[in-house]
Amino acid sequence: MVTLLASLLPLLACAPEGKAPPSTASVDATSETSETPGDTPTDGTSATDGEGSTGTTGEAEPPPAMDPIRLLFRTSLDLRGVRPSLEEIEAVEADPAAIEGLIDGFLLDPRFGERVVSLYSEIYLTRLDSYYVKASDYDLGDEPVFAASVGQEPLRILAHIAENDLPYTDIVTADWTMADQTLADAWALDFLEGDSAEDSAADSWRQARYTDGRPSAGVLTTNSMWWRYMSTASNGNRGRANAVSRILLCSDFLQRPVEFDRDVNLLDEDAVNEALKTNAGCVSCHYALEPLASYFWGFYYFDYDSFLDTTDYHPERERLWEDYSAIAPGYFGEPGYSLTDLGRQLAGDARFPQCAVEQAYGLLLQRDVTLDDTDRLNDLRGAFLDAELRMRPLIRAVVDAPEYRAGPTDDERYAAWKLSGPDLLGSQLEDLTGFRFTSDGYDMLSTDTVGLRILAGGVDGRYVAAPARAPTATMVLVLERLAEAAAEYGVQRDRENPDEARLFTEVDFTETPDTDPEAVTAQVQRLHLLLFGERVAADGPEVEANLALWQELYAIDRSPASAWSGLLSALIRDPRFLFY
Amino acid sequence: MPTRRQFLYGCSALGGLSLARPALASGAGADTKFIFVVNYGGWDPTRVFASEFNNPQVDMERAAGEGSIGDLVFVEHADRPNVSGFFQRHADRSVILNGLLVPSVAHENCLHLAMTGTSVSTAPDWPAIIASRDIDRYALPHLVVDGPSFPGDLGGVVTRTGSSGQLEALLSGDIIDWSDLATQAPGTRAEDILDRYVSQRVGAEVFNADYARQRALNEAYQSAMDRSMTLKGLLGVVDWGGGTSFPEQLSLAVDALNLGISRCVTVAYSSYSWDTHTNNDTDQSRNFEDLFSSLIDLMDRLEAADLADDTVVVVLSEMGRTPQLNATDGKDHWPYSSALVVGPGLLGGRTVGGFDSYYYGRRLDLGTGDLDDDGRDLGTDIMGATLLRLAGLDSEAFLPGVGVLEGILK
Repeated sequence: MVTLLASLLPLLACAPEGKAPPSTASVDATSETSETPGDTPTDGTSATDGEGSTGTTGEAEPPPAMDPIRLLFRTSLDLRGVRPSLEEIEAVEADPAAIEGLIDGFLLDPRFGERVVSLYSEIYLTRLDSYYVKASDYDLGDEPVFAASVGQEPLRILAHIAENDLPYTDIVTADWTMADQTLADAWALDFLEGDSAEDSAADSWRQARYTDGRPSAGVLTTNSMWWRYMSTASNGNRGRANAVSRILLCSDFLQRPVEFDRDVNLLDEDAVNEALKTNAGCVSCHYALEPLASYFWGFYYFDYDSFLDTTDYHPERERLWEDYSAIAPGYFGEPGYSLTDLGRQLAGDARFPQCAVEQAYGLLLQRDVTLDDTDRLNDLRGAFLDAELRMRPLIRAVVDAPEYRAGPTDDERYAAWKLSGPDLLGSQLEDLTGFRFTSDGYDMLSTDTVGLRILAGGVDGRYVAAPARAPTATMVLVLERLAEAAAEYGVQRDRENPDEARLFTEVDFTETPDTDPEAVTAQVQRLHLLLFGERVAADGPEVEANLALWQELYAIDRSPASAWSGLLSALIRDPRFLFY
Repeated sequence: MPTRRQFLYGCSALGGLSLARPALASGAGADTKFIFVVNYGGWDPTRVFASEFNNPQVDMERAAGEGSIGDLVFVEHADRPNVSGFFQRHADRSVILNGLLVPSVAHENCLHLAMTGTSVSTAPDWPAIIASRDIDRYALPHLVVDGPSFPGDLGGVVTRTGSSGQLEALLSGDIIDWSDLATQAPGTRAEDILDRYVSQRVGAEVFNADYARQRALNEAYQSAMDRSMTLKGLLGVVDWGGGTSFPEQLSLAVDALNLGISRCVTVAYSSYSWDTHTNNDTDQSRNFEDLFSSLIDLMDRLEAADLADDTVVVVLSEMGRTPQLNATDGKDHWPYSSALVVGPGLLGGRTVGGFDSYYYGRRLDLGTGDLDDDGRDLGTDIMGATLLRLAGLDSEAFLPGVGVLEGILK
């Protein structure tokens, strides 16, 4: 067999210099940090405490807190999807305690809602690339926009609740939904009165209400949820019941081991129905699942790829459970009649707020919740209840938790390093450079068919249900091309609009290190500060290395703009940009 | 303050995948490659794999009949000549697994169970596990051309091509031309300079990491970057953008194995849906005929590339279908299914397992593969453990206590 590997070896090899990697303990603690004035955490401890230690944390000793500048970057990214401004960095440098007020501000930022949408998309898994029903069915021309709008409906409800300090229970009790103009054009929806004129842009999301007489139950009565979680006559809405249980109670029936009783004849419908009620192996799940499923017959579609059947709610089908399962709607033993009842029952379940806490904690720490988190979760649950189930205080409590604010540590309970996913890469690069990667209307970082979402480590809602937690080859490639495109765009933007320049304020793209070393050096320092929160010395190794790179790029075509574009793209690909 | 060397050039001691290193795995199967062919939607085993003509509970096709080549028993039909043709040519290296238990009837959960043997969401799938053992030998240990991937914590070994030529466009930089906003990629020379710089920076971060987690994260970045550069080196050699149709997927899979860049490739039968709640007989027959036509072509390609003796082809679907037709001539979801495994290391020419009168999977003696009511259910975990053994791995290390279907292994 012929292989090309041999010819590729030089490409991959990085010539060794005979130096083995140091042991964890042998590295100079100062090698990681730069001249960041904000190295003093708000609790007064040294930010570098422990950084030269063995890297392991004692059983009872929490790791040192993250330095305030890094915390500023993390919270700004998590809560509003962008890196902090120069003014914000300077404020925290001057007074590390200022970060607490800034975090409060991030939670009030208009971009906070987008972050809620992005974070919780990993749980709702509704942002599919396509649905059985197409935009063309409604004479709408823009298929990607339509699919994106459909997938966001329940997430926008959640975002609206969070942004407006509404009780979290509204997620299952609200008598409104959220819609943009696309959904309003497709479905029987009216925007609620009182929306301000400035919200009327086609892509803005506003409160709306279905006009087809469906019950009021927040996400439980949205088309999007049940387009995503379709059902068949044989499934009888069990998948939907499980989706509700997984998303809103953090209890996934499908995670339970299933033992099929060989004495039950699955071919005998009567025997199966009897087993579902009496067989221990079946009853353990189905006693709860079947009545829960029976709530959803109003969303049952005989023709699931017909917009005529799937657009409107069908009150006349609500009692189809009588024909299909003969099990009346109910919630863990408590009877009900409509999805409004189900919403009320969910809202009154102690597992409901507990699940909300677990989700917020897991999403912001980028890891699964474990039993070791019990105490912290109990604390957070208390805070959530004290805040009358408002999401902003809950999220604030999570970002205040030591597990979120930990400095470097090998203890995996602490989120010492996090990885930017595709949404976060897109939003921060747009903020820094003005570049948003769309192609023929498709947002390339939030779609898969033509886009880059799962290649960049995201979830597609169907095949890939969990985000990447470490870089992959395709993620690195996406980052590379995104960095190149954004850097080029950002340089052109700042060059053409110097008065509004975001990144390049120290140069006008005529200077070189030979003609104006001070300006070029200052520009490199500014990039490090805005991208990494690091104040690097004019004669430091970072500037030296960056200027060498700049010169190398400049030598290609003698274009300062191209050199700056290349340097900026390299900084965007730096691990300090990807990990936060 | 770091030195310039620490900031930038420390990577030289560490950077780069050492592809020349010997494989971690050793022993029989250590060089075996895998192609996983996933048939999403739930196929009907009674159309090809499960000869249940004597079972009154099962609706078989009237025009179908039982075929056999040695101990390999299957279902023949005049409308499916490629099925018979495939087994006539490849029976000696084929094993049909019948009565495969996938303990769920929900597509996504079944898919996870079929590929990982468990519903634990963080469990890696079979190709990821196999590929992860040989991470130093292959630039793209597990290539996912289409279909599912459950990498668990092994995401670093998995590479997707995308379904619209995205990987090709990423590698060439042409993806930037797709942008609605006017921007452009750097030239080749600048790209080389930038790649080298970033590679050095990532290496330096590995070198300077004070904590194991920090180092592991940066090493993952470094490894991913090395792989991305390998991919760039294969631009023009491999048609990364061509894997959209199912035959094209298979072609790309063979190319990836032939070039020695991947150990495992996952493809998905994408021509038609298998989820036949209506028109089961017509659609399943069409699908199987089309699938086996492509499988014949796949085997031809593997033989032409001198890979047939090194490559195991695993053909599976996430679930089976009910034995009886429903009111719309469809069949619904069923937790017992079948799988086809073709390749080296197998005692081929054999149909293993079966179904009882309820169309439940029958138990087996794992040591012999013979039916044994006192034996074990043939679960997907056992199938997976057997595949790991075929790959030369110690299945006990990954699936303790699960057991291997020794009876089908040479």
